[in-house]
Amino acid sequence: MKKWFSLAIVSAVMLTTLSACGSNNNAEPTNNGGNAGTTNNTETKSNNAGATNTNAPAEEATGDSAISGKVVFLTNRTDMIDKQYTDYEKRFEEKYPGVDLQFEAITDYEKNLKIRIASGSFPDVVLLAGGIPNAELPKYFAPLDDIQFSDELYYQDLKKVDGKMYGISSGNSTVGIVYNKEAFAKAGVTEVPKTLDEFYAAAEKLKAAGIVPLASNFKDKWPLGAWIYDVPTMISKTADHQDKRAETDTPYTMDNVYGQSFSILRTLYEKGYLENDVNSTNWEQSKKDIAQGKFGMYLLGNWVVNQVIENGAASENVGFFPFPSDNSGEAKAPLNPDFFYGVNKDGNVAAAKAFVQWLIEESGYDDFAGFIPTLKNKKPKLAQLEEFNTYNPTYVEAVPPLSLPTEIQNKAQIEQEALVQEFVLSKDPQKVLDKYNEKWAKAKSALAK
Amino acid sequence: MFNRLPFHTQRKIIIVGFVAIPLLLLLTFAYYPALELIRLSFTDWDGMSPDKSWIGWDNYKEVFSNPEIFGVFKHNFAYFVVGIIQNILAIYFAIILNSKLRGKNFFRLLLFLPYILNGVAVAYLFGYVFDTTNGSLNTFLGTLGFDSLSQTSWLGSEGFVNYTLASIGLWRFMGFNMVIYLAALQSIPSDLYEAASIDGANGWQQFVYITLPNIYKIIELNLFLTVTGALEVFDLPFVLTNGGPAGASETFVMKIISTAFQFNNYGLASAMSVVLLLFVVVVLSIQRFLLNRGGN
Amino acid sequence: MKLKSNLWNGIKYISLLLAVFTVVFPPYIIIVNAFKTKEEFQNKTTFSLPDSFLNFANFAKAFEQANMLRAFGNTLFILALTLVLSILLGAAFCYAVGRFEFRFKNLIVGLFLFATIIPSVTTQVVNYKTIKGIPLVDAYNMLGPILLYVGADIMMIYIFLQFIRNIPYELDESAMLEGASLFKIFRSIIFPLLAPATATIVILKTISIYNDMFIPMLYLPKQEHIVVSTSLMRFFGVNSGDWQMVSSAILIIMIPTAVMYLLLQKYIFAGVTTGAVK
Repeated sequence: MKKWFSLAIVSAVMLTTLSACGSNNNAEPTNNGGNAGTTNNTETKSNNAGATNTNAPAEEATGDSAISGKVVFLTNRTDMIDKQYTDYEKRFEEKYPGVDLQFEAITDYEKNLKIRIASGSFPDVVLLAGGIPNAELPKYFAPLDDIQFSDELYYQDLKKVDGKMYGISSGNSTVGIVYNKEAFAKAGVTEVPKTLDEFYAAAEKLKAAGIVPLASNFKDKWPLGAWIYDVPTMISKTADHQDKRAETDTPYTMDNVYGQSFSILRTLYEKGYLENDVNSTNWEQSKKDIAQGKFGMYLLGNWVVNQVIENGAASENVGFFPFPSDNSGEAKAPLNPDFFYGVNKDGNVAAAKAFVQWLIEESGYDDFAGFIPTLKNKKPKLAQLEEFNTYNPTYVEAVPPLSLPTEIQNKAQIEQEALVQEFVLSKDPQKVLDKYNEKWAKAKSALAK
Repeated sequence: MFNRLPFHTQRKIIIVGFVAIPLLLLLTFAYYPALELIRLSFTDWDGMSPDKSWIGWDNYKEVFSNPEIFGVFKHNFAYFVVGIIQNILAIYFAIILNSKLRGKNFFRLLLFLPYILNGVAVAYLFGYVFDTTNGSLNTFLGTLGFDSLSQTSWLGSEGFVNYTLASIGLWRFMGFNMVIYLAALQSIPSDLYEAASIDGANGWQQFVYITLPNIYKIIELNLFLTVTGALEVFDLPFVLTNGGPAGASETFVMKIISTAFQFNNYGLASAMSVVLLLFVVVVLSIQRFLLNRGGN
Repeated sequence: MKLKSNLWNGIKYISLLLAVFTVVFPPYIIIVNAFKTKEEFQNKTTFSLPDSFLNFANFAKAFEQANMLRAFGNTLFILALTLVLSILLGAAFCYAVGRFEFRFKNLIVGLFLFATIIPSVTTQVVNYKTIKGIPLVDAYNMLGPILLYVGADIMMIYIFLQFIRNIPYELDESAMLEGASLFKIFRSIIFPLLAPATATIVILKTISIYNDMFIPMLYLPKQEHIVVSTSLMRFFGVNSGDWQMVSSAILIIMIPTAVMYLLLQKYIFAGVTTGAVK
């Protein structure tokens, strides 16, 4: 029945909005560290932050004459339409009077982008995540090496193919524990835990005080990404663990980084440190609950801080510290890129590049989103990041993803978030790992042929 | 002038003119893509790239040899069961509302109501209703004194998560089915019933010998929709459980979508769609065969 | 006999009341919460009534923030054009199929039936390409969704066919004897007699188009082409933490279909098939 079905699709499309509020990382098998979801709910008036442009504009070098015509930016930030984007349009068109800047905002971004790329025409500036393998990038996108930025950039290599850069990170984030300070105080946790054992002890105190220690948002899957991409990075102090999977037939074992990471979550689950019913969690509600101190902590990126504040928490009441993934006492944290800006090679390339540069250098989007800026010398505006840095974490930067592990994973149809869910819920987690390893090995040998 | 033409010619013009455009639209937007789908099912297309290579029957072999792909059909079964209940309820209420009854307009109005509500809003709503800790259903059960029941994890239990989800479908579409049945019931000439009453037939006999045969076509249509609906369902689990807990509510279409768009294997997803299509055809043929035999 | 019919009546009413309760329970929550202030929502139970049913602040904010004026305009435009086109095409199609015998007729009807089982999720890519390939559609974006909506609707064809079969053929015959052309018979006899069915279809189709989110999302991503469902979606994106705001937005969205449904219900429920020569 058409109606059943079209209504069905409609709702499916809503998935993003419902579960992650437009965050870009639900269900994507990226292997460059889960892109932190960033669509927040906000009316923050922080959009003029970048307007004060002290850096010498570089566009003179590229030649202003070519920069004109229509530029369309396909974005996932539906919430910024008619708000910040109106302002962006005004400011950008003031700078480049010949340009007509337009925004198209969609949810379920990656799927829609793929459909549009397949149809042969897509907007000038788009957002890239892990869905499109690097090797494919030159087919659709223009190299961006000739944009002269005022500062060095993070992650110039992540979307590099044959020495050319096809994507520029829109902002970066780290992952750690975002927590409600009042809840900690109420439970009698006076110092942030520095080791895993201290962390469990703190969770126990929170639980005893009637506070749900850690909001896992288990049901929504994408929040589990931290346990797949980031906690293993912390444990091993390397960021290439997802790549390394391609070298083995058993990428998921009890004693490697994944087994260790998943076991921490399983322990939290078994001890009752997660939500009452992990299969019935509500992402939007969880932000309120953290803000109100009903829940104590998140293990997520810094991008979530602003969202908790918007949901009623006072900024000084929200803290952020590195997650102690082991008992060493050493603070470690990943540094992950968010979506990358890509430029359609058949579009209005010159103007699109000018816009990408403007987005990075002048728009103020990174501050608005609570990111660590892509310009290496620009300081993040988020107070919680400063607090985070007082713990002197060793940052582990993301590395360029290899395509083989992704191919194996796709071939084996492994969704790692589902693997985590099964691992935590199963009576026999070893069996779950065995099952996934078997799939992996089969797909790996099939691809090797 | 058109009316001067002989009826024979007029007839031809009418048939061609009236059928052509709908047929063209149908072919363009349903059959052309379907054929494309079949073609793609023999390739390794990733859903985006201009290159694809022909790989023969490999995708089909994968569909039938991988238990993970086929196994999810058992999750769809719940929707089928609930769909049948939905139809029985729809006929039941249609018959009630077709009889003499005080306030029947009011009841019709309300029972059809869920259908007009926005699908996304409904999903949202039920996410809230079925929430374990804050949900209105469990709060309600608690108020009624069913303390243990009020702790139920409606969407988190592998055992009945699919039935929970399917019951939302029932909530939404029962009234719709009912209206369709009602339309059919009202198209039955009332003199048939009068004649039957004069002949001394009781209510049940009238139902079996007059009502059922006359709404037969509509039952067939609704069953058809139930079966396809059950096989193709995916909106509610997608939104409410995301296939969880641990994959217990993943349906076949969800699997198709993730294969195509998440695992970049459009070719395999196409093959799965074709298999789904064949599956529906088979089920329907069986249904037609059984119903026709019963009808004769 | 009397007892039995009383019992039967009792069952009827009890089952109806149960059904009504089940149906009303979830929307009730939306309605009471739409009128609550943020504080009320946080401090009261979900079931409780708001302090005042005159607190329209949520609605005003939702209406403005979701850009609903433009959304309603666009939706209305798409709806009007789609309905006119598809009703005309559908009725004409069913007239041809319901009144005449011709070669391939069963095949064609079968094709329409069969099309419903093609899982449309996977045909998206191809359809998107097709739509983008039609020059006129590329220029006038709104035509894309209209074209897709006009495409065959099995429910419509079923209802029309059922109806046409119940219109006595003698009407056609007597008109023919009076010299009316077949086209005129369709236009001035059959089509008017189909009015109740048309009303039913208008409602059903309006509901499905009005609530559709997928097609506008894919084909109308521009802000100026926002329709009701995409505006709701964007509103969710911004306010999904605030239940009372979301509830009021949902209510705004629901009101037009609900009103239309109330006004046109008699076409659906009353004389659906009694028409013609009674």
